[in-house]
Amino acid sequence: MLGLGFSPGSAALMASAARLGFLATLPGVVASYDPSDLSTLFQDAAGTIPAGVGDPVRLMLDKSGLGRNMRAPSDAARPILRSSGGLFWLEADGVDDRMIADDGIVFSQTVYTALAYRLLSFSTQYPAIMSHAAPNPNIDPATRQPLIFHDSANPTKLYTTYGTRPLVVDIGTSVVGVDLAVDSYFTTSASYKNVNGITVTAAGATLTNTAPEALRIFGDTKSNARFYGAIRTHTIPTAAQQSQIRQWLAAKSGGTA
Amino acid sequence: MTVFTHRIAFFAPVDHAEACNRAANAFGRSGDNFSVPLSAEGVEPATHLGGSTGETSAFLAAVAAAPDLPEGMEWPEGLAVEDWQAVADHLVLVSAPVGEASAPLQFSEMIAAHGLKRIASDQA
Repeated sequence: MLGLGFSPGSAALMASAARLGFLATLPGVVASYDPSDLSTLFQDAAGTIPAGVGDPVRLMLDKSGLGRNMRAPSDAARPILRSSGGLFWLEADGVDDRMIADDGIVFSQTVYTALAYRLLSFSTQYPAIMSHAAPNPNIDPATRQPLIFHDSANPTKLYTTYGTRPLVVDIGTSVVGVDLAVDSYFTTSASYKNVNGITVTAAGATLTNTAPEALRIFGDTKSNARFYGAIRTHTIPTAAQQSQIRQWLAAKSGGTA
Repeated sequence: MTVFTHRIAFFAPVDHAEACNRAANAFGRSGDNFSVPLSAEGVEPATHLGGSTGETSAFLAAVAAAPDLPEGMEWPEGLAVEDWQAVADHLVLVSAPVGEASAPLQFSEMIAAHGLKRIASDQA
């Protein structure tokens, strides 16, 4: 945990915030991550050794400024910063790599999540890409807000589950090796997901468990995946803002807006 | 900048993983690096703990020399003799040059060769 006052990379974070552009104007942002901003990446947990391309990343600062910095729990669990063709991503090995946010986020009845990633293999049966869920969410499905994962038995589908409400998009081909730009929202009255332009909608629901939990990238199921960036809000962006976010994700990943 | 020349996969029996982890951390690593539970049937309880990471040639040379050290290498501050002995006696490690190994494949092949399976996590 970071202490009060100075936090590692705070100057870098302020500088990078100025480069957020329209993301900085979004209402209700509770966490934001962008591996292409190297000023937010560090090899060590204390945030004293900057990470460059090819280096392991122990700490990724939360660009929202709210301190939900992502940390790998050990040196062996660090994903690697990779870059090619102007794109940057964290690459998890599918064995033990994962990142967990310092501070939890209270579950909200209004949630918007957007991220871009690429699953590299089915190294585990249910690779989790990003999750805001309590431990053992399969035992208590109410504690998923959302749980974003795949299933090796259904390799064309992407699952985003809020509580017990699943939003499933079938992209028609194996998701392995495909850059995916995903945005999704959930309220008490409606839920929505867009994956590379394919959309699904469903009714909303009221979450019964609203205790705070930490965001996680790559999950405890340890997915073998690239992570290009993500943003989480507790205010649903306007349609125009969602379109901008999808374009931002597509630019991050080389995917489709 | 530390240059990680190799991708390694490793495991140790549960009773010795903590000692092996302390030894690794005496070489400058940190955290609980043995985090993947393993067993013969892929179900609890875990009998072994493993992991995967990038490593330096110097670290691999040290592990290969355990319970001694390569000639000319100073004994790291904080490295307990008994922990280093645990590395010599119980750590299983495979390595390949970076770029030549798929991490999940390297790990799965290593544990399969020793009759072990990952215990599926029920966490996300």
